Amino acid sequence: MIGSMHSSAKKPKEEKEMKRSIKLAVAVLAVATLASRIVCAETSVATNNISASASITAVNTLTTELLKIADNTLSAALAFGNVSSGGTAWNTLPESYVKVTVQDNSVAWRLRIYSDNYDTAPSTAVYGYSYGGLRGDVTGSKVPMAWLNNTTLIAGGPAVGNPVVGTTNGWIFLKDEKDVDDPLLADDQSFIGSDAVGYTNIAFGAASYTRIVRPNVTGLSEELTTPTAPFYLYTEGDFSSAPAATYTGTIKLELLNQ
Amino acid sequence: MKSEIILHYEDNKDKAFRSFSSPLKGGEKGGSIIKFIVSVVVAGMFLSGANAFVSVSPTVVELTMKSGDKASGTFVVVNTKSEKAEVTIEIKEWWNNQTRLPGLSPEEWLTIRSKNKFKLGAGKSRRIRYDVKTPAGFEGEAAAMIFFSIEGAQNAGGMNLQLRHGIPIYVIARGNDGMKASVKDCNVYFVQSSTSSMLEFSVDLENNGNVHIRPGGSISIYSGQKHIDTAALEWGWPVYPTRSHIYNARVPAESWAAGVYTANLEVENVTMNGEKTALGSKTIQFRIVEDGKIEKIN
Repeated sequence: MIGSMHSSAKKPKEEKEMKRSIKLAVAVLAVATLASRIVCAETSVATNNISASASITAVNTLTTELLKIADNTLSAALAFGNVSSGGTAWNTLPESYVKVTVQDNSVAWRLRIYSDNYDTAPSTAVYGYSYGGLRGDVTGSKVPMAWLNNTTLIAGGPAVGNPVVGTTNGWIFLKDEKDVDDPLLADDQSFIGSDAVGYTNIAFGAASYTRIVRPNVTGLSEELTTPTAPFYLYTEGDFSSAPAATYTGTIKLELLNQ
Repeated sequence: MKSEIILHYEDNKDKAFRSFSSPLKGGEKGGSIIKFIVSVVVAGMFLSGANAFVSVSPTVVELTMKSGDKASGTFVVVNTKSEKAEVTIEIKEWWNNQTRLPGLSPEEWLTIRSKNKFKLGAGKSRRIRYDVKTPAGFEGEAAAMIFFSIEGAQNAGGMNLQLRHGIPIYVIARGNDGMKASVKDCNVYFVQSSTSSMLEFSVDLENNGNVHIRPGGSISIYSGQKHIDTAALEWGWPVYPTRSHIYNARVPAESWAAGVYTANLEVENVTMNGEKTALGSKTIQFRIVEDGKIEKIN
């Protein structure tokens, strides 16, 4: 898996950094530490010529709360408001963050995040290869987004930063379900390729623990104090290349049992 | 009234890979103000969080079957919201999706006996039957991910935040000889974040077979001929063919003296039924030096 992500050819610095981010995610997924044998395994399959089967009786809950960065009260919207175009890349936080709690006693699970803004694959001539974030109502317009996890609330919100250097600042590019592989890059940047190596994961765990992905800490992930402890998911947008438009999008949080 | 239908299949593997040759950046720099509207469309969902999540049991289905075998089972879907909700079910091919290997489309082996959208009262549950029939010549493995979600109302110009729950169904061909793995690497180090002296092994395992495995096993540590301790390899995470994964094992090492140690790793596949199959072994040596650091010898 890892080997397949590395091939040759010299690339511009930013592309190399992106590759590094992908490799990082490979490692992040790889550090998943899965404990606890199945506590309650039951066969729930009515069989007919079946040889063997197993399934897990579940306790699974994914809880999310949208809260305002300013005062941590409930928020009605995940909004950036009106933003000036241009300026520094990756310099805008929305007004809110998401408090996430996972309770899942299954043998293994992961929580992934991505945007899903296009019914069909967009034209790469117009939109490029990566679409994670928001889509504008002007053809070709998009706002890349990134996400960052923390085990504790960050008063005033996290420092913004370019996800290209996520190992330093903790930000990771938000992928889109229609992302395609960039032929100029060695690593597979497509959604499927990125997901298969864990780049879309924000957390993973089992009944006995939950770890959140944090590329800027040793081990690239951090175990929560208890498996059901909440963690805090922040997002940011890059408006530096965005034309005037109304931007919308669909972000999916998926609890995937393994 | 017969209400069974076969769900539609949404497999994006064909959509995702096409030939492109255009620049990365799309869009153009334009006006000075971006009118950016992002409102939580599914306010109830995100504000009341847990109420929007579809609880499903079981969370994993793993079957071992021969060609032509049939099996069926049920999922129990619970609406944890305090109001009636519409549940959506989607099926996605998962074997090719995760391994890039050729695989069966779910249509060839899986049927979900339910409408793909149905309403469920507050706190109510519904049993969803699934049928599996392996085709003739079935070998290797097939997998599908069944997604359950509660759709929220859409606001024009808003950000829609959706929660989905994915439940995998794996079907492994009985009699397959594809359960193989190799140890790519094995490291040992002290856990930095631990307040006590905790030793951790990281074992990078690659699946060289043609079915997924759930490796487990143990690491026995010796000082000379003396057995010091045994660490259990954490178990559960499946690793697919063509993929690798790092598994960890921890052992307290507070009273360990400086010196050379030998660690014998035994890896086995452990199914969810507890059946075990040996996958391989590896021995490493390491040295704990006076200042509490570790040097891997081989």
